[in-house]
Amino acid sequence: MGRRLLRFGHGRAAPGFVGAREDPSTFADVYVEYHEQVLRFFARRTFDPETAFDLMAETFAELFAHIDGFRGDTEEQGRAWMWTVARHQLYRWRERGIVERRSIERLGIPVATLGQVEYERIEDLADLQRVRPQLEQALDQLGSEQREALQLRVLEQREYDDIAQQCGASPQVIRARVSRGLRQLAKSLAEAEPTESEELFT
Amino acid sequence: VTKIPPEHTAARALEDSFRQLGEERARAQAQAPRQAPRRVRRRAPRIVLIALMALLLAAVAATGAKVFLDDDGGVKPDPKAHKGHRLDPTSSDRRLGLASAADPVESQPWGLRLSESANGNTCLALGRVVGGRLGTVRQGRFTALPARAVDVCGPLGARHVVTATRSSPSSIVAGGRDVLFGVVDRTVRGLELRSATGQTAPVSVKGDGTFVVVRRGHGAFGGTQLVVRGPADVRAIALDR
Repeated sequence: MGRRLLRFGHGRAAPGFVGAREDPSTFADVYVEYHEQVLRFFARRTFDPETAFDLMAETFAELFAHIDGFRGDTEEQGRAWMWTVARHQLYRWRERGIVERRSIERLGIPVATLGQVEYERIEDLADLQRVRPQLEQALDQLGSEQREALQLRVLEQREYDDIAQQCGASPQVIRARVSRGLRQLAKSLAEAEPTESEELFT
Repeated sequence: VTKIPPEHTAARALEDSFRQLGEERARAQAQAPRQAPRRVRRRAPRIVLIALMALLLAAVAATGAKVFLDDDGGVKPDPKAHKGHRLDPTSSDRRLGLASAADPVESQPWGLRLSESANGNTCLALGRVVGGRLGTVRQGRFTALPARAVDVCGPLGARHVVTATRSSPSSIVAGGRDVLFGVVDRTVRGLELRSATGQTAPVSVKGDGTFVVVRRGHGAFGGTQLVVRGPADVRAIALDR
């Protein structure tokens, strides 16, 4: 008890996964703490903000649905469990080609559409500059519209509004072209997948 | 714990959902009757242990006698013993929907499977149909979906329609494809897609109420509404991608 008070103060439940198992009302804090790391993990592997967000949402829904079954005693074990679930979601997405929403649907969690700021934030998390060399090599495989959109967005790092004006299309259309282009290149870009240690420290 | 910036609306909405669900679950846990751990741990009286041992011995002896004397030793497997999880739809509930739609590039059409969850909701699983089975196709290879795979569930009786859209990325089809799928009940008189510019296109609904629409590209249903014509009213469902 004394140890617990020293570590967490005022006798409150431990934060994180262990605490959320004891008191599910604190699970939202676990989500707030880790959602961006998980989002980055998916963004760097799917190159698609919407897919990355859906996978992240399903991962946390799955964690919440099974928090009772978490058997760990430390936060490190909680994080390990979280990454196992995330990797499984990614595997299922690659296997089936669609994002599973089993836990989201079961819990009745509405998943909102991404706004422009959030979309671009997730794109930042994907760290497209990391795949720049592969991208430059692979641009020839694409159609002219996608090639132009990717060149302006990823290689020249221009704003969507700016590109939209130059190309005579809406920012949404440009976003779709960039997203399509990246997904078409996903196979060659998969070789540039970050290692898990890179993931944790970037 | 860092706060999520207000402009990250989708991430914040998720936080709100987890907070609400977490509080509901915590309340439910607090209201649940507490078990008395002492009672569980209390040492059982010796007489009970002896009785249990005697019962066990009798059971072993009876089984041994049966194995030794019986003609075929026939302990038949209990068909109920391998029933799945309570929420798993039973196999007799699962059926392939009549609706299907061609893929823009590959030969295997899209279809859906219907099942009923334990709490009475209608569940749908989307996939590619090969030989009367539903599955996925990757690099030309078909893999059947697991029996428990479900994409969306909803109360068909109350809402008259259960529907969803799914993105399916592809290295072959530029931008992948988006699929709209669902089922309506008998009260629904018609379905149509209404684009952002107001153009409408009817959605073909099969005799069992199922429908599947495949469009090339990502976000192909963005800004589109699914118009559901019911017996008394007309509803428009905004499709998110």
